[in-house]
Parts: sequence; structure tokens; C-alpha cells
Amino acid sequence: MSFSPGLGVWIAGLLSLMVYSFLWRDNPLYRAAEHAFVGLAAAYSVVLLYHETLRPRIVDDLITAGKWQLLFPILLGVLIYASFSNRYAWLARIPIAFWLGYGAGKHLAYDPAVILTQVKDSFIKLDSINNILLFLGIIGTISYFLFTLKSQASAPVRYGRFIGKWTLMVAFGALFGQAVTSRISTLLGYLGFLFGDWLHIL
Amino acid sequence: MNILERIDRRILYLVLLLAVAYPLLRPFGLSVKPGPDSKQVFRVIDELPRGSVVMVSFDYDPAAAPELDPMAVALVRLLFSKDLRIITFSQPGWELGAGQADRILRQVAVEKGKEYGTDWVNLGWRAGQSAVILPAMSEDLRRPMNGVDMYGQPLVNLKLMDQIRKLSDLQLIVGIWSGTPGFQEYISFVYEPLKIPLVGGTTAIGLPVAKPYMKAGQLAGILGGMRGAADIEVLADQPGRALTVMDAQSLGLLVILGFLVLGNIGYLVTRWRGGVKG
Repeated sequence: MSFSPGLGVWIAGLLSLMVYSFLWRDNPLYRAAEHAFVGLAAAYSVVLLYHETLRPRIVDDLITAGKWQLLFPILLGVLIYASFSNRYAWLARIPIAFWLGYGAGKHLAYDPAVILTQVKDSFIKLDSINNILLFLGIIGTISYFLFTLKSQASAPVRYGRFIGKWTLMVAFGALFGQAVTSRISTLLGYLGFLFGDWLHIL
Repeated sequence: MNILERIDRRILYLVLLLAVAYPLLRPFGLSVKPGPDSKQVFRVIDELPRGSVVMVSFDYDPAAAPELDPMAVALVRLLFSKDLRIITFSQPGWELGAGQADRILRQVAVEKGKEYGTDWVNLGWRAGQSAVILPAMSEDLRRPMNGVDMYGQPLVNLKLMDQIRKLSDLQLIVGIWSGTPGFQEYISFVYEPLKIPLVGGTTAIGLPVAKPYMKAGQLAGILGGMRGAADIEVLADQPGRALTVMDAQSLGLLVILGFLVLGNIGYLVTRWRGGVKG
């Protein structure tokens, strides 16, 4: 058996085993790996924030290039911290209002094209079992979420909800199956790393 | 049936580990027949003229890498073997995706004899929101990138970037997505306004969410998880890691199916005996 000389591969391999040891039970090796991960992730985030956001915008653009118009969004961002003051908490509503306006505008501008294409695609000919099932599933699922109607509504609504409930359960089953497949794929990918890149027995 | 309720979960973990480790080391050689969705992805890429420029969006991080790296490698190998040129990018929020792109492109570029700057460019990642960055890239690819690639080289010095000024200059966008932002952002901000064809792959868990978009034509093709990667490896006739783990995936899923059946039998018998209500 030949081992990879790469120090990084060895560290990753050993840390992986430390993390997997949790499957046996909670233990100091698992805790050490967990704490190292949390510490590294926090440190990485701080460095990333500085290099990718703060330095390019404040040091390079604002101070060096003199783009003083950037003071406006910076001021808007700083106002969010006013929520810590009882007296000036109302100022935090300004950036929140800006953010809500941006969100609403974005959705109004871009979502209709996406959603209407989906809606149009549901207008199908009922000429096959699949299409009939799809049609019933869509109508049933929508009627399941008509909360404004009473639970003892008319027969079509009740049957619609019944179909909707079963359609949703089938959909959740499919999602669960895919989730299991996804987790197995992740495990296999990692075993591929351990057996292949680390131990070279694959 | 009480014995089913008393099985230590660690025994289940061990059985699952053995079930996936054995075929990994001693594959049975089960055949993999590519599905229609995978064939569609392959067809879209296969039909592109040689020399076309494709953007590959690495929208995943190391958490999803064990599942998506084989797909990324298979797709990049396919693109390079068709003599297509690649620009990589990662949407805001996937800062580690740029690193994934760097590692995979360097590896496959050496295999296929491709050169940085001529055959591929890594744009990297920029902070912000996809709703801002993607529309900005639609107008001018260089501005949101501050005029430099991932390594700080000016884009004007890279030959490949001479003919690519904006997203609509691309022939195809290939995404490898593991969450948000992902394919929905590309559909909203790139496909719908510009109609640039969009194909890609997601984790297996993301596949049911993506399928309706493919049915509606907003995605030209979609791959799901390790199986999707194996399909591409078969279609491109370039076996890789995904194919080597397919036997293990099949056996692992069978074992889990067995656990589910046993668990439900135990539950039903206990309920029948009056041990469980509801």
C-alpha cells in the first residue's frame, strides 16, 4: 500500500476519521475536529469579508479612487446598528425599507417571466395518463392550500384536497428518496477520497 | 419483533459502510444506462460548434464537493474534449466555488493540454447579490469582475476574453448547483431576458426541484448527483470516479431500502399488538 505524500491529504483524511468517529459516540477527537472547523470557518469569513468587500469598496474605491458616492450605501448600512439604541432605533427602518423595496422590485421585475412560463407549461392536452395525473395533481395541490375555504367545503374542493394531499405525499416521498441518494453519493464521494486520494487502494 | 426495535444504530452504520465499501474496492461491473435527461445535456453540449465559449458556473462549496466534484470533472472533460473554451464563475455566496473551479480546471486542463487565458479563464467570485451581479454581467462581463480574473490578472491581457464582452456572447451556460443561489437565479436573470441556453447538474436532492424547469424548457438539460455524472462519463466514453462508485451506490440504496422495510414491518407488528397508537 502506498500513501500519498501530501500533508494536506493526510490532514484531511485524519480529520475525516475524527469527524466520522461521532457515529460511534461523542468523543474528544470529534470535538477537536468540530472546534477546529468552527474556528477556521469564522477566521476565513472575517478575512474574506475584508479582502472581498471592505478593502475593495472602502480602501480602493472610496479612499484611493475617491468614489465618494459610496458613502451613501455605507451610511445606509451603518444605520442598521441604530436598532441597538432605544432613542434612534427608528433610523434602522430606513435600510430595512430600502432592502424591502429592492426585494419587491426584483421579484416584480424578474419573477413573472419565470412563473408564467411554468403556468403556461401546465396547460396541457389531457391525452395521456401522465398528463391527466399531472393535471389532477396540480389542481389538487392548489386546492389543498385554499385555506380560506372551510374544511367541510363542497365535494369538488374536498376531493381536490384529498388528491392534493396524496400528490404532496408522493412528492415528499420522491424528495426523501432523492435525499437518501444524495447522502449516499456524498458518503461515496468521501470514501473515494479516503480510499483513493489518501490510501491509494482504489 | 422486539429485536428490531433494539438494534443498535451503530450496527446499521457498520452494515451500510460494508455495503458501500466492498463494491467500491471490488466492483461488480453493473452496467450504467444513461437516462433521457443526461442524454439531453450531452446532446446540447455535443451540438456546439468547436471553439465555442461556454461559461461553467461552480455554485457549490466543499460540503457538496464529494457529490458534485465527479460531475464537474466529467462535464469539464467533455467540454474540453469537444474543443470548447471555458470561462468559470461562481455566483455571490459561493466564494469557495471559485476554488473548486480552480482545482478542477487545472487538473483537467493538464490532462487535455489546454492553456490558461486561451482555452480557459477563471473569473472567480464577487461579493454581492446574483440579482445585481448577473444582470451587470449581461451588459459588461468585465465591470462586475473589477476587470481582473480570480488571480488578479487584467482580463484585457487574456486572449479568450477578447471576444467575450457580455453574457450574450456565450453559446451556453453550464451550471453545477447545490442550492441557492443556483439555477433559479440563472433562469430569472440570464435565461429569461437573454435566452442563453442553460444546462447543468444539481445534487440528487435538488433534482426534483429542477425537473419542472426542464419540462418547461427553461433548463435545456439537467443532471442529478453522482448518477448524472456517471451518465456523462458513459456518454462521453471517459470513465471517471462516478462510474467506479455506481455499484456501491446501488448496493447502499438497497441496504437502506431493506432497513426501511424492516423498520416498517417492526412498527406495524408492534402496532398490531397494541404497543403503538396512532
